[in-house]
Amino acid sequence: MERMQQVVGRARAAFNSGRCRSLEFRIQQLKALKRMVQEKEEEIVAAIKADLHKSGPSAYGHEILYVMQDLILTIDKLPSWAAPRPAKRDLLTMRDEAYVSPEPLGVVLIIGAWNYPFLLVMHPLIGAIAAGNAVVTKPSEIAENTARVVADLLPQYLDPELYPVVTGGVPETTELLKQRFDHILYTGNSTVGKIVMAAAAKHLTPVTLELGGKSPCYIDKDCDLATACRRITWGKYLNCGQTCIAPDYILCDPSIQSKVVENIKATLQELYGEDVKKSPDYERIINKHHFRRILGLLEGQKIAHGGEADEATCFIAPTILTDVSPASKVMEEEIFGPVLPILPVKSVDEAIELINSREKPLALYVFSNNKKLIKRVISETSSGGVTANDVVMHFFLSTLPFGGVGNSGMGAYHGKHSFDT
Amino acid sequence: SPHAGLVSRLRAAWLSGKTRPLEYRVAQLEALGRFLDEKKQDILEATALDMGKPPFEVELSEISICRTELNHTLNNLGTWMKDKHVEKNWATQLDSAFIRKDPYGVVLIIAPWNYPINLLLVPLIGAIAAGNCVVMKPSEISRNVERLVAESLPRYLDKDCFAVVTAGTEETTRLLENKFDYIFFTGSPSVGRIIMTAAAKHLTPVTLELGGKNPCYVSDTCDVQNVARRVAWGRFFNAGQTCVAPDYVLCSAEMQEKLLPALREAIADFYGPNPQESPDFGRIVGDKQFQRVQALLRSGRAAIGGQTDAEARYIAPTVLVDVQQDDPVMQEEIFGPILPILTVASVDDAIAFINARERPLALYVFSSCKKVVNQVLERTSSGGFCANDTIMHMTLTSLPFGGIGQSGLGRYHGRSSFETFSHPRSALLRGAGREALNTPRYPPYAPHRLPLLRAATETRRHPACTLL
Repeated sequence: MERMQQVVGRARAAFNSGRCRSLEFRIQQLKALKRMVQEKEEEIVAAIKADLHKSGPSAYGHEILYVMQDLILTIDKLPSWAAPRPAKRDLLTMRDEAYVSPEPLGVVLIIGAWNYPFLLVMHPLIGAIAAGNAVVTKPSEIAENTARVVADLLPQYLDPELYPVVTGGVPETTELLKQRFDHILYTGNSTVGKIVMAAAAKHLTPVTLELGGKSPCYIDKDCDLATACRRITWGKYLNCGQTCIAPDYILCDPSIQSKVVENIKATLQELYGEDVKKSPDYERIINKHHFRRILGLLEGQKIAHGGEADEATCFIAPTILTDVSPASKVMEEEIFGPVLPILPVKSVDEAIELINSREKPLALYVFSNNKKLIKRVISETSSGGVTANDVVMHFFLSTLPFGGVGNSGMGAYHGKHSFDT
Repeated sequence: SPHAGLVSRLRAAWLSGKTRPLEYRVAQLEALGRFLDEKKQDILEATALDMGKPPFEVELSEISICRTELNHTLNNLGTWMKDKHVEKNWATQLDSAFIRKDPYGVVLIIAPWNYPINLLLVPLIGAIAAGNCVVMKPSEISRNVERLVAESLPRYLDKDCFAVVTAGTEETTRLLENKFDYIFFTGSPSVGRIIMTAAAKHLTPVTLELGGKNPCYVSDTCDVQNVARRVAWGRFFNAGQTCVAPDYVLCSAEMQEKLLPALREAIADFYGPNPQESPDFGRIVGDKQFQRVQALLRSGRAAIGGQTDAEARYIAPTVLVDVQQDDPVMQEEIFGPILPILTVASVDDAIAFINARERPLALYVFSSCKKVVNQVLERTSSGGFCANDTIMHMTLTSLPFGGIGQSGLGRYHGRSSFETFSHPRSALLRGAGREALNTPRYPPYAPHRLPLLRAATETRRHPACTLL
């Protein structure tokens, strides 16, 4: 597939011309992106809706809002981020100038994911452009409509040689990965993450891998259970569970398990109404493959709530499983769907041990009024990020670097961290 | 895998949490300091045996550098370990938002043979400071240092958490089958690829300190005597076996004419009329490496030096001229006491020459004209850069040290070592109260709530400053 070689080669030649290095150029491109998001908002939202059955406000709130925020922040701060940082000198170098100067890497590859198909392509793109790189963008082919919109719109607003969009599936991506890049940012699963890193190793290309895992959520007996469950419900069923930092499973004392279920049920009613299938705010599973995969996880489980499904529309109701065993199928892989297993544990020690016996997750959640307990859970475990007494929220603070550790990934971005990446 | 038991033992120690407290890390680092003090004589002897290293060089480039890093780390570790609180938005104003520095777990450090103490201990200092357990693999090529490290170092450190593994290529490949939480490798780009490929199987993050051909551009406006001394020092230190040594010189034909006698003088000053007799000039580490470097002499002609002695693994401080781009000496990192000079017509030609090649670990420019220095700095790319000297940028703990592209990935030294071996973990601690503030985010979604949400989380644009 010479096409990939040509596209990347053109981007490299464009980078080598030096035109994307000046701050003025970078800011101009970012401003063009901002115009694109403003002018084409309807088109973008329609595409996301088509891909994920998202309501307008939801698509706007989950994706467009954050892209705009990131653009505004980056355009504003870029001059200070790009300035050289002076370094401390010693006696021998007292009269010298010593500093660290951030420089562009060259040609960056961004591979997006399908669950927040616009956000997960735009967010890294903003950082890569801000840092002065040429960028090849490969949106996920699984979110077809958004991929098409990205491929159509980006060349209309950005320098098409410096920032080409490549569409396609596995064969195209494999060919793309054979080319030489100066950094690759991939969002997706660990299995493909390994393939990306191995391909990068051939060229000694640094990578940022935003992967996933099973983000545990520990609910202490001493907590405001109603509020905790409300927040957990929101974060779990957002985007029909297809969120990399959704609370994957709950760990709690057996004595509060039924109360947790009751509280979640009540919140579900509040958020999605009597008939969740009719709520415009409840999404669908992205495709049949994942639909079947998720349904398969319900086998042999105690369904305390939900379980209804409709293959024609890829609808799976918000589902809660109780008394789940750590050895069961639903505990083997990241659920990435609206199924919430509850695993009873007798103590926080047991919870910590269970968490540590598994791969390091992307996010970790703990609900408790006891600050000491929270500190303990955090310091005795490892995860990409943590939110205590809420879920997902650490994602939205751009001053916090967002990324995984171990199987959940390497590197981080958001805000200035994107520029630094 | 033969080392699986060792790795799981260290992982168990890691999970026990014993490497976490500041006191523990300080104790281990201080023990490392005692190793440097008590074993100094052994280090001098081992490095002399391995590479004929002059004790003066060992003191400076191995022991003293480790001391600096150790002291700098001990002085600052408490501060580095602290949670870094970050600026919040309106929605999180009352929350606690910070970045923790978590250890990764069990890390692997693979060290090379050219500065076998420095390039093992400096990363080790960072790894211990960051709270990890460490498996160390010193180079089997610097055999005497390998033996010293394997026998003595474990006696100073906690055996539960730190281990030294001796291994050749095959055993190292087996060692890499194990899962590590971080791998730090110093060596060649080709082995770097192998390491990263092995790391990819476990999604293990890596720092690769590799190498390349470090260009040294000498402009027409400079103090030739000084240039010659600084370049000669950087090139011939450790008999050229330095990753940041100036690899080749680019200059005009006129400058070359001036540079040659100045280099000749500098070499004579440093090493006397017969460098083979000088106690201050090192040797090539092994026969294989000697043969490789010797073969590079078949390029251009030796204007200075060129003599070799296979038995002593001695290659004289050599300057080659009339070198072509496709000569052997320009095909690989020299890593020996040979300095080719290639002539270019202008600084633009020099920049084009440099940019046509892989990005180097270090880039040097000699010019008394600031404009020239800035031009080269801005139009090229390299791991690090030093104007009007060689190697010195590496001696400042405050300048992160590492490569780019083929010359490497990641960086360390000083605080950057601690950062390298730490996972920056974002944490947001909220309270159970103030649930009303969360209301706008819940379904059923209502467009009228969006402005509130935006106001709560958005960053406002600062008014543009038009002073400039």
